[in-house]
Amino acid sequence: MSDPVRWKQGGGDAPRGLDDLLRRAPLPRAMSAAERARTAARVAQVPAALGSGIAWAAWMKGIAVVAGLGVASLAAYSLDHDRHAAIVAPLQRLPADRLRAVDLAPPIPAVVTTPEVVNDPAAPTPPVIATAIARGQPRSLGHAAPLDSAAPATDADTLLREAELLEKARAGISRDPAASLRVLDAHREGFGDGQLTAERELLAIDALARQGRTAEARARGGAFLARFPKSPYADQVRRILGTNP
Amino acid sequence: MERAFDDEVLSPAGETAVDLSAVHAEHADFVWITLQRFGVARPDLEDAFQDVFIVIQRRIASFDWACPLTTWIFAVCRRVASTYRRRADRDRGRHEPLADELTDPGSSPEELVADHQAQARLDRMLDGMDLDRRAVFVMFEIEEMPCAEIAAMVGVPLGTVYSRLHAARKEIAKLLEKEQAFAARRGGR
Repeated sequence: MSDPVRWKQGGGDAPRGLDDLLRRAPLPRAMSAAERARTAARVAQVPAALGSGIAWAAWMKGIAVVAGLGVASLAAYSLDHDRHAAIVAPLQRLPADRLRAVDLAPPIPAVVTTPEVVNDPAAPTPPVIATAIARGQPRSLGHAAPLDSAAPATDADTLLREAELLEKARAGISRDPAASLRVLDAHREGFGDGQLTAERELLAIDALARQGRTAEARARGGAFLARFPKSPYADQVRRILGTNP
Repeated sequence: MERAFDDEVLSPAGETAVDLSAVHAEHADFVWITLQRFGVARPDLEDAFQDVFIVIQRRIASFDWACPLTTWIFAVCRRVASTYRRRADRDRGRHEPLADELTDPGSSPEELVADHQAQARLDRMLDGMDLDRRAVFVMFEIEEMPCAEIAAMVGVPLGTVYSRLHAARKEIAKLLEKEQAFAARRGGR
């Protein structure tokens, strides 16, 4: 069985006008370097966010266990001290102030039967991230990372700052490639061989080529291909330099 | 090849531990493009993208390797896109795509306007379509992917792709008819 002929190639019974719409339709847009970097930084924080959510759930479970054990203990205590009444309706005779005491009681580690909850240093962390995820709110994980994951958060922050600079350079590259190049130089000064060096070099080569600084673009492109021969941007660099086979 | 990569990404036991960064490195482009195939619009794209990875992290344990990982990710993208589509229905009109996202910067202003209008019209019609049909329609008619490739990616038999494409064509023809009738009524006033 062979595929049908596409409408935009005059196939089948394409309604009038639709072939033109389809011909003009753009392909799904590829990710930019900055988007790749931003999403990588956000994805890197997903396990921490979910971990925090799991810790919160475990903590709540612990509270429920404590409360349950407390109620059971009080019921047993009540039964023990008021057997006659307990036979009829033990819970109705439970003193209200004792019940309130159970409700208000803080989680007591000694009573908790799930030691991993007590020993988990992440457990008391407020579940900011998990709550945000559950509500489907816009994400801002970079600002809500748990305290005990300071190092990865710093990495992510650096990556985000790098990405921000590159996004700025990318956004203006067609209007003002010289200004973009200045932003990229600032990135090089600020981050050196940062995590987005390849992306920066790609943009710089593009900016140089757009300014007609062909020799510089070629030199930088050559250096890029020597340093990142297997980079996903290598073909793009070759295209910019007009050396694509 | 993919399986070899995925063996590195997943824990040896193949359970819950997953190196999301490695999944991102390998499949980010696929997720990004797939979300657009399902109609997730630019302002929501990065949030939806992150949601896909949250689901991957949570659900990877339930993935049974009966299909390629990309097929499973495709299904995850569909679910996430469905949520964003409902949200976009509520917020319709809050974002108009930028002209330079759409077309070749070398186009004339008239061509840019025509392209912009054409895309807006097509988007309106695609937004009215069933998600599964929409994805097949976009991949076949716009991206010009062969049906066999679509079938492998979506994880359905080739016949299902043909039937979805057929249904999508009928659906979009109806939508176009409605749109033209509406335009004619407005023009007749």
